[in-house]
Amino acid sequence: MSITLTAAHVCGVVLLREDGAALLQHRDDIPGIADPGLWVFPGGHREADETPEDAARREFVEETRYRCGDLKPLTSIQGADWGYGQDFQLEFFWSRFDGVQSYECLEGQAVRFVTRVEAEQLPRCPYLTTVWDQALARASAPGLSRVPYTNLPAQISELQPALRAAFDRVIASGQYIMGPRLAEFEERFAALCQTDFAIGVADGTSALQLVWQAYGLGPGDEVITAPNSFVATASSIAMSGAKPVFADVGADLNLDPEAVAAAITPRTKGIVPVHLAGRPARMDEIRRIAEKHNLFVLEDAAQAVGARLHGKPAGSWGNAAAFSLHPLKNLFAYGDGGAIATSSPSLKDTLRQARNHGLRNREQCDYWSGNNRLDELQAALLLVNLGAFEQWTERRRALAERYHQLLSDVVEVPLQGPGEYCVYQTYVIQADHRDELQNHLQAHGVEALIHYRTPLHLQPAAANLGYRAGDFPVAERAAQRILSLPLFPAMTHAQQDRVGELIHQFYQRRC
Amino acid sequence: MKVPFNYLPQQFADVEPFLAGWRELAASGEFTLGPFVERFEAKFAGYVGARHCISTNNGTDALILALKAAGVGPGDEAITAVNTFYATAGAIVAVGARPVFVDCDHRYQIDAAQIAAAITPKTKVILPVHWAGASPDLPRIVQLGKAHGLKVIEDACPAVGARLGGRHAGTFGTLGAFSMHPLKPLNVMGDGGMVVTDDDALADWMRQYRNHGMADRDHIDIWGVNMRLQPLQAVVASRVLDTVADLVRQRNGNALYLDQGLRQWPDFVTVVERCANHIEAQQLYMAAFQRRDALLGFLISRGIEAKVHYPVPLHLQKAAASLGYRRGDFPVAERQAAELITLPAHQFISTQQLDYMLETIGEFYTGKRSLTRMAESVAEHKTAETLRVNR
Repeated sequence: MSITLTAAHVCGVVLLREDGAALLQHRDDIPGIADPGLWVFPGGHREADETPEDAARREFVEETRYRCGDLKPLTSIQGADWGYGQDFQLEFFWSRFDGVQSYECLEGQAVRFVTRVEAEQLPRCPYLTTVWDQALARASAPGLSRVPYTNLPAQISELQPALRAAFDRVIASGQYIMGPRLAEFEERFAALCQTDFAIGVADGTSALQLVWQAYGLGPGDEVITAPNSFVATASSIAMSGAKPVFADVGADLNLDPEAVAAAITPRTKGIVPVHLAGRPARMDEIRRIAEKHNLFVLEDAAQAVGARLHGKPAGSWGNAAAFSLHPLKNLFAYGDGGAIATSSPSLKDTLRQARNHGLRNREQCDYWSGNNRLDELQAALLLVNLGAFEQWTERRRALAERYHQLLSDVVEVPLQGPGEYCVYQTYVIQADHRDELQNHLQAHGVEALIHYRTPLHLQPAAANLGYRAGDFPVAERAAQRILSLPLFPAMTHAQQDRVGELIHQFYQRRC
Repeated sequence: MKVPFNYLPQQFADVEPFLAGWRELAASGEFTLGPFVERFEAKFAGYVGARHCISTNNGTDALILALKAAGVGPGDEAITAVNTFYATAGAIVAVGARPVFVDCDHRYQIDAAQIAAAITPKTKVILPVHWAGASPDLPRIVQLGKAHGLKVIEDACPAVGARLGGRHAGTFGTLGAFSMHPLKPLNVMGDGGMVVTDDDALADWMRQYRNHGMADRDHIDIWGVNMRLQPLQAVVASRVLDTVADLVRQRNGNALYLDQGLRQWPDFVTVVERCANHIEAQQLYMAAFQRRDALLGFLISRGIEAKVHYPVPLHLQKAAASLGYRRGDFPVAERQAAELITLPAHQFISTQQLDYMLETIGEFYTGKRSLTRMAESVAEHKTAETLRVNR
């Protein structure tokens, strides 16, 4: 039987214990939730002065949200978005409810939502016997059962004193724009990339755009790149007036050199190989093609700081390379940030000037240009992070290795190819029944994401480029199968095991 | 005595309140737009009295975003002031349009009376600048725009805190752009900016364009860019915004004091005229001085960090070569470029430092440090103080 529930129907959650006993946690029994039809939880986010009870309530709300991830709330959350803002009201009802659904708890119990009629037949449990206590336990020992996509606070906890000192130095200097820390960062970043120069910029997109601006790319030109990338890879080409031309990728999900060669026309000016997910593209072959056709190579190394192919770092293969230093990247600023690596002195000079209004000095403007600077403060914090970078990368690689072992029997894992040194900026598996697997993981508190669901050539923004579904079969098939699992330096083995268990459980049930 | 131009170490001497906000930010992991940015945008929109605020990575991006939203592109002309920061022209060129310059008046503001003559069939927008944190005759410019069917976009980058007849700078035109560069009245610890508008459709478009054209995480309707304000800076901006009214009051007190002091030497110094119904943000305190370069060197040698904004007007920059302007095209701006000095008059300048600057200027022009004048100056300071309090 399928019934449709409305706000008036739902009155609580049922807890099914392992011994089979069903208990009703009736909303009337939860103190402070007297208003019929509305459950009110104070405090959207963990405050320093949050009481354990408030924290438990918040955890409870969040847990429930995770378990019911595939149900849509009847109305959007009021007050502010999840997790933020002042007090907010959560309307604890769902727009669609096919039958009585059960959601398995992490501890082996099930939670389901019941109607008033059903509820009358169930024994009521006293105030918060189970769910509440679990939430309370979780609030005092956070992060055990849930696996977030990343955990920046844990990752940088040991760096706090150094970050604070770096911050204080910049603040006291009064120089917040293009000071000595930026210069130092650029020097060290260039050394990391094994290029002669690096230029700090506002973000990874600006890095791509500035290189094309400096190159002089414009209408009538074409640039070949991969369709399975972040939008900025293509938009930076399109914004200059040139045409992004896509070529399919290989099994490594990076540009297929043969497809690149086939896409070259007399209008082709450059190639943008993407080192997707921290895996180096086949730069040796791509560079040979570029040299043969005299094309400019801009590496999109936004996800690949520290990656290497045959020992040579990503960013040192092309004429220039664009990096993102966004907080979700493996080397990151505390906000948007980016960098360009190059060994061309003239390109370096143009880029340094182009990112700062085209100014030669304070009083002389050689050409009109925008503002794409990396903040001095971010450069100072990046320098601190650089000190931990090698260790972070090793940790990521070790965790990736562990994932390979945990998962290779049920899904396709991103193994390294010959000569490749992958930094696993994202750990992307390819899986059958991907969407269901993602739902399963999310319902159990594991944040798994998709990078990216729609290939660039099928985005509305690309409509005028004339591509169709089927043009890039490898990239399109991958888009249906890819799933990015949590992998971050502060991840514990227990968290990783949990992800592994859930994935195995998912496929066992399907058999 | 030292009179520094840079007050940032003093302004941010106590960073604890900011750190508290950042801890919350770090715990949330919301480093890409998100609630901290949204809260600041709502607060700023409320502060200036606009329906929408769309924050950006910096003031230049704010101008580019506003111009794009207004549909300015290749083949179009945008009329702006010749005495402005490079970014005003840079933003116009960045969208593919051509900057058309107009001379300024004796208040260093775009001369509203000369704008009509610059309008051509290609003109798409008028882009008046609130130079140095003061304001041009915006009601007249808006009227002119209406008469010619042109949108007005305000470059209010230096002008958070500036008002005309009670209305905030940046809210007269269809769109207004602001900067939060460290030396702006509302500043952050790096770069930041925003656009304000009352137009819902323009606001929606700008929000999407500034974040890669994303309708949501998986759908891209238009090719866009990354112009996002850093949440870390949004936390700073939200706090600093609370102090803007006070610092503008303090700066105006200092400006009034310097105005009165400098009027002692009418043969050498031209003090700007202040409009009764304007509140200036006093981003830069500027006056015109005879023998400017010699005075500038003298002031710097005496520990006064005076500056020039800027010695070369835009039309004479190398970047403007292709626009076809020549020396003599903008006589007022050109003369001012040779005479202006910016004196430190920010909120951390003390009365002693103001006196020291006046004494030093007096010494340069008269050859002596005059005690009488100092006494007068003190008396005038009292007047200035009274005005400051009554403001």
